[in-house]
Amino acid sequence: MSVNTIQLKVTTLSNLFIGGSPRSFEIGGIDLFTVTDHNGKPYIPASSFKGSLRRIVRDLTKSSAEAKLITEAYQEFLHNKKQENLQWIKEMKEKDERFDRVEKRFEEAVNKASAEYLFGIEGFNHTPKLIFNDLLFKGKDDDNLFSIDSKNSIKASNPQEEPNVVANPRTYKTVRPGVEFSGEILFYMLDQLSVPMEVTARFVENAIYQFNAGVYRLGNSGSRGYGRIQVEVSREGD
Amino acid sequence: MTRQSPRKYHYRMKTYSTLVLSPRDHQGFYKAAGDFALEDLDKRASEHVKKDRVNIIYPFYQYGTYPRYAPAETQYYIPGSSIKGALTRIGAEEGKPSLTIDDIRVKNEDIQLYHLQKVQNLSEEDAPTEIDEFFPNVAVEVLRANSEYAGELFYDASRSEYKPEHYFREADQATRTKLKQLIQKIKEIWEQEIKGEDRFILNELRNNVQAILDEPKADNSNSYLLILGGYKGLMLSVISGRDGYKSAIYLDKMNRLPHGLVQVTLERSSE
Repeated sequence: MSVNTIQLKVTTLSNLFIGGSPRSFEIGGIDLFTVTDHNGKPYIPASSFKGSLRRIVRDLTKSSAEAKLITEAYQEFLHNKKQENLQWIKEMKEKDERFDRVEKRFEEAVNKASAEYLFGIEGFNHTPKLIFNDLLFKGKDDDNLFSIDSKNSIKASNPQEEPNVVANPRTYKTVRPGVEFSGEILFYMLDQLSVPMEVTARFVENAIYQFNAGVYRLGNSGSRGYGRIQVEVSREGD
Repeated sequence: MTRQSPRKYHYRMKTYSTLVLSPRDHQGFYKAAGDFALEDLDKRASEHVKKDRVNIIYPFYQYGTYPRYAPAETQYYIPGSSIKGALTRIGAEEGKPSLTIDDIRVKNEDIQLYHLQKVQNLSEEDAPTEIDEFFPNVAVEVLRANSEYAGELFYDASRSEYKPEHYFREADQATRTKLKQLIQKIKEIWEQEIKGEDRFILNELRNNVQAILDEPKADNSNSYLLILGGYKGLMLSVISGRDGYKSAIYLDKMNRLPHGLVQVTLERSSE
């Protein structure tokens, strides 16, 4: 079976806060809202999940055998694309010396290649990559979905100063633990890489499972305990 | 520089005294609005609570929102940020944090209602010093003393020159200095007129704190003393080189200790 989609189910294990659009400010009220859809239900924007997964992939790049294979596959892909376009680049360079940069861009991209290219290659369109969809809330309408949480930034005086403590409270509306979301990651053109799709799928799944160890978080304020999630993954293919 | 993944630590936490962790902006539950049932008050009230006087209940930190006081269904927790906030140096660290500390889920049966107790008339010359309820119409949810919990934290070595033990050791030293400030404050007020049994309670508070400070500790111990939560008073919140400043004294009257005194023991995870 050729993999073309990874299905995700994400369950929050702690409060989750993904900075949403500002609402009217109330004195003494909530001043930071997690992102919600047009129905007021929380969701996980594709960009948020993608950003966190990208950080995991970056960390795995040095230690993963699959990451090495994926990197080599991207280098081969870019090299082949350059060869395909070589005649065209040569002709264009004769007309306009600025096209010299195109050739250099290919060289730089090959040199910088890593498994992070699964998230796109800067300066190149239509390359093999993962496409992320928003993760949507899948529960009932009347579920209790949010926590109202206060965090205080506390500044204490130094021993030499007049003793004093100043607290600056911020109030967050977050997604509470136990809320489930689902979505998918699409494999776009990944069959054009020389590495088997199975290897890429296994690497991506392994990266996603890193969330379950608790080290990596989703959204903001992870160091305050926010954004811990449990992820379940399944594959779909042809 | 090669970036290392954060490392996981487990920690155990034991409360010596009741822990008061009420979010400042959380609404209380009001009797007048029908927000709580008397049977729930009955079930959760500690022995010192005067139930007929309770008009407001202040909740402990909790996940979710609850239109009525529902202690049996509520998901209580200790915020990881509260423990992190007790680590003085971490609080002052700028940029990307090196420690992530997770929340700890709290068992519902470990939450009880309590009237906060404060040493009153500390600065009054005409009235005797006494221990009395602070807002007697308010019952506050607290985590009971002698509760034991386990939690997790994550340490990113690439973002700090210090290991977690270093931060906890500094916080432990700061806690001990603050507790000595409390003992000193009790000594200062000792000559004042203090009401009946309250002198005995204050003496026990002093002795109990001193006993904790005197507990032998191995050099390689991974156990640290912290003060968490609110109702500490200024002298347990800051270290001051100055004498004679005003500070409230709140106390856990049942255990004769300041609120929020906990022992945290770090254990490196093999994961």
